[in-house]
Amino acid sequence: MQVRLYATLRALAGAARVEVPGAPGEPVGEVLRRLVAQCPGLAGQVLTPDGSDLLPHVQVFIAGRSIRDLEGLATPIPPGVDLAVFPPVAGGGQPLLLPCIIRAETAEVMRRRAPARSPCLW
Amino acid sequence: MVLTGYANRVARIDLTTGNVTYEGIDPDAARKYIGARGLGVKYVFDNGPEVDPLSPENLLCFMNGPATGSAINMSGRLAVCTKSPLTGGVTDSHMGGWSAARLRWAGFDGLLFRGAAATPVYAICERGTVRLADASDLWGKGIRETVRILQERHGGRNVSVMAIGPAGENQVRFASILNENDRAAGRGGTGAVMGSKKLKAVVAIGDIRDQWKPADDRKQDFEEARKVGLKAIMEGVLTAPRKGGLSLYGTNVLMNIINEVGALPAFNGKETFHPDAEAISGETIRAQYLVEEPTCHACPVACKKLVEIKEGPYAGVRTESFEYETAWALGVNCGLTDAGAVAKLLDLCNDYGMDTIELGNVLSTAMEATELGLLEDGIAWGDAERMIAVASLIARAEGQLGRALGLGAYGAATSFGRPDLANSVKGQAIPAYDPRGIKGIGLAYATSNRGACHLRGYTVAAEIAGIPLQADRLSPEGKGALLKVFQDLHAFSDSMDLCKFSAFAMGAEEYAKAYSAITGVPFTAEDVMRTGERIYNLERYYNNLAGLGEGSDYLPKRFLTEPATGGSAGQVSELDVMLEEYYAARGWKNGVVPMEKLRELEIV
Repeated sequence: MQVRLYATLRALAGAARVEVPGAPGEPVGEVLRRLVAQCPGLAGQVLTPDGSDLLPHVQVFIAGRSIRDLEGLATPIPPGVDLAVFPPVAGGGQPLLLPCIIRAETAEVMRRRAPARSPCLW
Repeated sequence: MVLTGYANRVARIDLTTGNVTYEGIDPDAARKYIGARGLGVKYVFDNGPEVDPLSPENLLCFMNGPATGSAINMSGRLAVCTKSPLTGGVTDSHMGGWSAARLRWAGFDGLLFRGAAATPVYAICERGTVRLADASDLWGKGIRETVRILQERHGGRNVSVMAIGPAGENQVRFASILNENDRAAGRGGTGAVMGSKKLKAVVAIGDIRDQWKPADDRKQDFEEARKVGLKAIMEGVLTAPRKGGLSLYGTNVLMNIINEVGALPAFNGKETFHPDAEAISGETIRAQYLVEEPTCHACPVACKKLVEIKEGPYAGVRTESFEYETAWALGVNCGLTDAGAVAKLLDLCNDYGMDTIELGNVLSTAMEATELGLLEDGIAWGDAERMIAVASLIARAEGQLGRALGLGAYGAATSFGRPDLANSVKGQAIPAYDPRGIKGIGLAYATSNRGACHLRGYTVAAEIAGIPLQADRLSPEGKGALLKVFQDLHAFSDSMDLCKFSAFAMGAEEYAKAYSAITGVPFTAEDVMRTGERIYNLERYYNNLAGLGEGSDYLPKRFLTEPATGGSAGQVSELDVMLEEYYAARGWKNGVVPMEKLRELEIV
């Protein structure tokens, strides 16, 4: 299957598109591990060193959906689609306090609202 | 008591009489509203919300923050604050480059212009004084020529010029103000306000030898705060110089990812995906057109991308900065993916002084109206030559079409009898993220105090990149609280005035440290958030008093009823759900700030 690469990943892989063996229904993680093996320049850029997870802020899309919003690396690849892999392109460091503030704000808002809604996304 | 860090000098310039007076910074106001955006909005608030934006009574503020011109990273910015002729509410529009720092080094925290000159003038700021000079010979000239003449006239490498072009002179409602590095205070029509006052330019002569220095007893704290911020930027995966995506590709690194998720409005939002967007993406621009990467004062990131077109009908165009918003607005939004043509249009905007985002929306609105048969002698999708010709008509306010389009996308669409064709909120058109594919940014557009805007609350960071935490871009849940945090944080950084991109590497704690080191006021991350909330509520209170009350937080019908395409196929905005949660987070009643909230935040 075809994997499209963007931004800094292109120079590291030496190509904007890479053909990687893969079959429909296979987990995304398997294809990504093969991609890294095929393009050694991508080692340490997409997956954690043991290959068990995506690096923070790397995004992999299947038909426009981030696998982070699906089943992560276990997401099965539907037939007829390709993968798009982006390095961090809209974010950087981790301002550590912000997640706490956002969670606290969200919890407070949910507390004040009708209890029917799910408490929070995070 | 005077807070350290400020120049403690603001000039009030009455352009009707030519009288200039000087005053210090009010310490109480500075504590509550910091500077730049916050303090600028306070000055505009005190001037009254009922003023006609293009009348002499409107106030036009050029405001630095306490960090401006210092060695704190990304501190090369100022805010232009005024009542917007585009929205009828308060607006703040920021510019980078070196003008803000030089204004500070010329001895000023801010300049407050009121009245209107009988004949064109420009202001010269030097060593704590402001004087006015005749600008009759400059009126009618483009920004580049104006800048060149004034730099030659006032000499030296420490001269910075902020000017309007023909669009500002003709009070085009989305005219901008640019400085010599092609950096724009783009949004909200601040250039039109400047034009209505017959103020052609502001020249800041700031000697670098006299630049901002911390007070003796603050030097150690200041250096520590500077290093903390610098480390975060240098190590940030996005901001790291020559390594991070923002540094390598500029903001246009977003073009492909936003297109991938189906949140790139194309053809005036009829589609949310464009198959050829890659042709004007950051990756393509870097590979084929990039010639220089200029930067702003105290910034190692260098996100600005100067391009040169070497072949084809636009060969010879050399311009900056090929930003994401510009590439989108004048590009795929108009069905255009010719990088040369987009660069030419950008170059015209830089010289005429027009907001590229609003112009792109004006043109795409006219294109849809043409397609629907509402506009004779209109513009076809992607017709670059016609776009260039019409841009000139608009800037020069020529002909019925030029004058109608000069009202902005909403004004133009209304003149076509179809206001719903404009993708605008409160009279200002949307930037480059579709609210159907990124739900939180739709809420941000709807509730932005300055009209549709991505920079009041950049939820895209969380919804696309997972910064500072991952949010599901297609879910409306949790977006109200998320947006409030972003809006409050950005209101604070805009008041320091630190570049918005600092938020990719720094957070409330780093901001608090920098503010404390500069002013000597003990400050925590919680203080940062509360101060940002106060500023956001002051703006909202102003807008409420100016007539933007209940019902003014909305999205154009298209985003609520017409499904997205591409990676967001079938999606529409679920604004009502998000608004309910947002108002709960804000403590507002249908967009109106209650008196108890104003008291709680010590606004009244």
